[in-house]
Amino acid sequence: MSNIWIRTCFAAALALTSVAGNAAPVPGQPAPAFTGTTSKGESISLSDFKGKRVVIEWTNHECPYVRKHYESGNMQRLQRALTEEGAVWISVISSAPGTQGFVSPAEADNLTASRGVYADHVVLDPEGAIGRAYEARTTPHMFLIDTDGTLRYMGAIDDKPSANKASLDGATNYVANAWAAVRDGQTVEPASTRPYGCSVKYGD
Amino acid sequence: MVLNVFRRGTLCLIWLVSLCLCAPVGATATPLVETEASHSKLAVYLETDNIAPGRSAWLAVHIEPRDGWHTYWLNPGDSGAAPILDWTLPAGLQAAAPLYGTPHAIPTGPLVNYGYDGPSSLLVRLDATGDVASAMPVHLYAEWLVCATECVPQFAELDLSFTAGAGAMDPANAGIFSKARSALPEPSYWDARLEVGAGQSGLTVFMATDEADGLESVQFFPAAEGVLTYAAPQAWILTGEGLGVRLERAPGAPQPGSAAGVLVLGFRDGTHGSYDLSPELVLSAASTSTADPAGVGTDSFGLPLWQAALFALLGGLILNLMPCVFPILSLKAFAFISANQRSVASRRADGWAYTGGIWVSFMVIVGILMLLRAGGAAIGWGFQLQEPLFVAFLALLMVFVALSLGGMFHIRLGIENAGAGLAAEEGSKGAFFKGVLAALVATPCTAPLMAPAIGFALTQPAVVVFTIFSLLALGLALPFLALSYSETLARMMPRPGAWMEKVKEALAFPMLLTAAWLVYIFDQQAGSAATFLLIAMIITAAFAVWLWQQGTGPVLRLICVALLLAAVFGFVRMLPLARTSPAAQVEAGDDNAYSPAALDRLLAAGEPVFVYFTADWCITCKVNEKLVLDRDETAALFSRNRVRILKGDWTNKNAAIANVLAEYGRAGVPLYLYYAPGQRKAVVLPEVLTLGAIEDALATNP
Repeated sequence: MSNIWIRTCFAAALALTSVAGNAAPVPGQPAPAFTGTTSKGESISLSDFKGKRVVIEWTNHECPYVRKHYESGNMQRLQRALTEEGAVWISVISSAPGTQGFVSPAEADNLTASRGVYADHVVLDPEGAIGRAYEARTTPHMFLIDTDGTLRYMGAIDDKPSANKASLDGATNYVANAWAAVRDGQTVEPASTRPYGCSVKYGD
Repeated sequence: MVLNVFRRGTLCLIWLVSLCLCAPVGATATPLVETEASHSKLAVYLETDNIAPGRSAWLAVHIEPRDGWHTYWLNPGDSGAAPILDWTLPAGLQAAAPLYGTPHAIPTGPLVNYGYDGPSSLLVRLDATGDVASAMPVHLYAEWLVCATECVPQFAELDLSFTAGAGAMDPANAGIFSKARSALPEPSYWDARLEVGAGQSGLTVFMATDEADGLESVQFFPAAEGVLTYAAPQAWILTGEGLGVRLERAPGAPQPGSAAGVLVLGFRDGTHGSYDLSPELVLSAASTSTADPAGVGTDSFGLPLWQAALFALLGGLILNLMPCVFPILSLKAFAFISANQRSVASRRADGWAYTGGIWVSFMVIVGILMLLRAGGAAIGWGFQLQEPLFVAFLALLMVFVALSLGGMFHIRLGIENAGAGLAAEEGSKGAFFKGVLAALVATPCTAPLMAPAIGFALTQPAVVVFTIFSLLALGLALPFLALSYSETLARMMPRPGAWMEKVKEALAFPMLLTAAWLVYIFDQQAGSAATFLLIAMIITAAFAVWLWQQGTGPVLRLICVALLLAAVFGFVRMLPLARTSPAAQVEAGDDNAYSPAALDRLLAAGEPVFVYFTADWCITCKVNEKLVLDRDETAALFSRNRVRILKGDWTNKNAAIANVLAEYGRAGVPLYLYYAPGQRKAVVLPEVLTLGAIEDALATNP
C-alpha cells in the first residue's frame, strides 16, 4: 500500500518535470533537437551543426504561399544571402504520403535543381515528427537557430500574409532581419510572429 | 432570466428569418460588382441606392466558396489568411476595417482554422464627407484564400462606382445586409480580463449567474495571435465571479497586442449566442513586475529572502504542533520508540527518508500550485482539501489506519513495526510515507508564521518558491531528523514493551477524530446525501478488508477485491449525482456573504467594513472566530462603530476570494481586513486575532 503511495508521488513528480522540460520551441531557449533523413539519404541532427547558425524552413512546393516566394526568387535570394554568410539552410517537408507537397527523395532533388534552391539539406519528414516538435503550422514557417543551439526566431518569413507576388514589394523580411540582428549581436525583434500560409499537411 | 430567454429567442428568430431570406438573396439582390474566381464568387453590395454626402453607408463584400471549401476569419487560426480588401477611394470617402461574422473552428488534421464553411459577408462602413464628388470611382484589390485541405488564393481587381444622392435604402439588398448583421457577434456589456502567461492564458468574463444559466459549451476566438493554441480544448468553469476559461498557449508564441475576440456560448436548449469581447489584457511578465499591488499587504511582500526563509523554517517547526498534524505527531512519537531498537544507521536513514517524504510531497503540491497559478486558476494553499474526492479518500485512509491501529485487522506490511497500518511499513519506505502523510495533512493548517512566507513565495519566481518550500519541509521534518541523529535524545526514549500495543491502540482514536473532521468538511462541500454515500463507502471498504482477514481462499479474496473496488468506484461515480452545491446556497441565502459587488456597495456608501475570510478546514480561523469574532464584546464593538461585516467562505474554491487573498499577499485563510469609512484600501489585521487588535484598527483608522 505504501509502495503505491510512493510510486504515485514519484509519478506526479515525474509528470511535473516532464511538463517543465517539454521542449516546445521558445525564442531564447534551446531549439528542439531533431534527427531527420535528407533527400540524399543522409541522417542529420541539429547537434551536427553546433557552431553554425541554422535556418529551418517548412515547405510544400505546391502551396501558393510557398510558390509566391519561390517563383519570385525571393526565397532563393534569402537562401543564397544567408548561406553565403555561413548559414546552414534546412528545408523540411512534413507533408504526409498522399497529401499536397509530399515528394520522393528524387522529386525533392529535382525541385531543388529546377528551382535553383540554395538549401543545404532537404529533410523529408512524412511522419511529421520534426514538424510536430517545432509546432510547425504553415508553409512557409521559419526558424533561426544560433550557433549554440538557441532558438532566435520563429514565425512568418515576412509581414505580408498574401499569396500575391506584388506583396513582396516593401515587405519586411523577418528572417533576414533576425539573421542580421543575431550576426551583429543584437536582440531579435520580433522574435516570434504569426506564420502564414497553407497548413502543414500532417497525416493523422 | 426572462431577458435572457428573450435574448436567445430573438437570436433564434433572427437566425430562422435569415435562413428564409437566404434563398431570395441571390435572386433579387443587385451587386455593384461581381466576380467569379476559380473556387469562389465575390460580390460587393451597397445597402443604399447611393451615398449621401456627410453620412455613412455600408458595403457588404459577399464571398461564396465552392461546396466543401472554406474561407477565413480575421484571425485565420493555425494557417490560412484573412481576406485582404485594399480600397482605392476618391477624396472625401473612407473605408473602415471590415466587420466579420462569428467564425467556426475548422479542424484540418492536427491544426485548427477559424473561418466560414459556406458563404459569408464582410461589412465595410464607408464614411463620406459633405463635399464628395457626385461620381465616385472606386478600385478594390481583393485577395481571399479558400481552402479545403489544399488552399487556392483568389484575387480580383474590381472597379466600381458610387454616386452621391439621398442614400435611400435599397430594398433588394436588405436581405444580404440583415443576414450579414445577424451573423455578427453581439456587443457584450460584460467586463472581462484576459491574462496571458507563458504556457496558458486565462479569460475571465464577469457575468451574473443567471446569464450563464443552462450554459453547455464555451469557445473563445481571439482576434490576435499569441493568446491560445488553436487546436487545444478550452476548459471553462462558472464561479461566483463569472465565467472562467482556461486556454492553452504555446510558450514561444508572440505576445498578443490585443485581448479582443468573440465568445461563443452554447446553451442546453440548443441556442447559441456570440459576443464581441474587449477584455482587459494582462501580460503575466508585466503583472509579475508590478512590485506594489493595491492594498497595504505590502509588508508581507517586502520580506527579504532570508527572512522569508527563516519564517518558512519556523513555520514548518510550528506545524509539528498544529492540531491537524497532531495525530501524525503521535505516529511520529511512536516511530521514535520503535526506532530505539534499531541501529543508528537505520534510524538516520529513517530520518532522512521522512524528510524526503515531506520534501517530495511539498514539491509535488507546490509544483501543481505553480502550474495552476500559471493558468490563473482560482486556487490557494490548502486546495487539496477543497477537492471533495480528495477529502473523501483521506477520510477513508484515516479510518483504515485507525482500524488497523485498533487491532481490528492487521495489514501485514507494517504491523511487526507496531506502526500505523498503512503509514508504517518497516524501514525507510514507511518513514518516507509518514513524511508524505504529515505533509498532506499539515498543509491546510497555515500557521500564522507560514502565511506571509507562502504569500511571499507565490509572488516570486519558481526558484525562490522552491527554496521557501524546501525550508518549510525541512522545518516540519526537523524534530524527527534531530531525534534520529542525537544519541542522547534517542536514548531518552523508553524501552519497547507490551505497553506499545496499548499505545498503538490508543492512537486509533486521534485518527478517528481526524476522520470525523474530514467527514465534516466533506459534508460542507458536497452535502448530506454525498456524506451518506461516503460513510457507506467507508463501511463497505472496511468490511471488504475485514473479510480479507477471514480466510485465504482465492474466491474469498476475489470477492474482497471486487467489493472494495465496487465501493470505491461506485462512490466516485455516484458522487456527482449526490452532490449539492452549498456554495450557491450560501450565496443566495447569506446577505453577509462576501462578494466583490457586496463590498463595493458598502464601500461606495462610505461605510466601515470588516471582512474576514475563513474555511471550515482552517483551524486557526475557527479558533479566531470562537475566541474573538463570535464574542459579544466584539459584536458590541462592531455595532457601536456601525461596522458592516462580510464573511468570505473559502471552504470551496472561489475565484473572487482567491483574488483578494492574492492581492494581500496571502495564499490561504485566515485573512482579516478592515476598511475604514471612505477608504478603498484595507488595513490587514493579524492572523492571530485579538479583540485588542480590532479595537486598535478601529481607533487608528477612524
